[in-house]
Amino acid sequence: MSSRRWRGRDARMTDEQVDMLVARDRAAIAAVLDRELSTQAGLARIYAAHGLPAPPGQEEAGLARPAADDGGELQAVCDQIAMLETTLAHASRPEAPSGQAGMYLSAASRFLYELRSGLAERTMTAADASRLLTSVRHDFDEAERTLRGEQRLPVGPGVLARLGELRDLVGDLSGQLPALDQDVMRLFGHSDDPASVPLPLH
Amino acid sequence: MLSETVTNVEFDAFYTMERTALVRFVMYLGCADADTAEDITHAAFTRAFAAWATIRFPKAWLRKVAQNEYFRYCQAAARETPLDAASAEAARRVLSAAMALDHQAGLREDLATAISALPPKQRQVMAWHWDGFSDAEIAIQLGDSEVAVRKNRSRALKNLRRYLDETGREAI
Repeated sequence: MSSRRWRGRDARMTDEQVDMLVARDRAAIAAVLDRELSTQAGLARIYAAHGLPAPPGQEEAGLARPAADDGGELQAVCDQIAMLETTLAHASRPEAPSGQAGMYLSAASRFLYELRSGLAERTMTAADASRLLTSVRHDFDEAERTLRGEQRLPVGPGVLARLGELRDLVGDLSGQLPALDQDVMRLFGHSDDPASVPLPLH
Repeated sequence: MLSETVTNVEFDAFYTMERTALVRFVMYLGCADADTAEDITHAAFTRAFAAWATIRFPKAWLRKVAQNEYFRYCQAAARETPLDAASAEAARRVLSAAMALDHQAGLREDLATAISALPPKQRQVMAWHWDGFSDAEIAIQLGDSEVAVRKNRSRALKNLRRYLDETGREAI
């Protein structure tokens, strides 16, 4: 048997590493697509197919695009947020060991969705983005506090282990927030008013 | 008139937010090239525009329609070229397109090859999974049982991991 075969059996790469690799792959593909595809031209094609005039362009409507979008950074940030949402969806599923922590994680997921939608639609101000991230951080802290308390309760070893796993996961997610915070704020960095990306006029 | 305008604004916003993700979804299904994936995405969004007011879950709706469009495209393409060979080569080509942006290009090229080598069903399940859908939601959309989805996802992940392990590159 070849050494190549043996390496395969060692399963060196973990599921988390594959997930991370996929997340990077998705972000890189999105960056290429964002660079190559014109949203305005795509919308115009759809409207034309229905015999309608093209909708006003974003520049025409006074909606400034974050400069970072040209490099696909916006999409990369949105993907990053979507990955957190996916993880949270699994963590806060009904059969999760702690219902109360699950509620906090669900709330965090909703805030992240709101953040991602607002960024993608260019309707989010820097202040709102910051507020949402603060709320997410608060929910993670509360979930962590709840789980810590529940670990002290007289529960079976199975539940205790699952509480521990969930607490570790919340810790990992919390650890990703500072970087996400920086990435999100960087999207606003090229605006004349760093506190605001202009609202669409339509 | 006002509600029509509001609907169009909502559609425009959704299109702006989801278009890239939908093109990428079609690519992960194994689509031939970015242009074809974009055409399939365009067809799905054009249908969505007409039915927008009645669509309750647009994210899933668009993917279901795009998936069906892609399968139709595959059936047509299969009349000309053997589907498996064309699909595998095309998926590898498309998924490698973005590699210049990443310092881990070698590892990601392996990932592209590994994804394109997955059986179609596993690739399909993973495309939905990576877009944030739960096993239960995927089961509904694909008409499979939740158990079958979970098994396919688990096998796909195992296959990806095994392939990446066998290439012997260092992970992140």
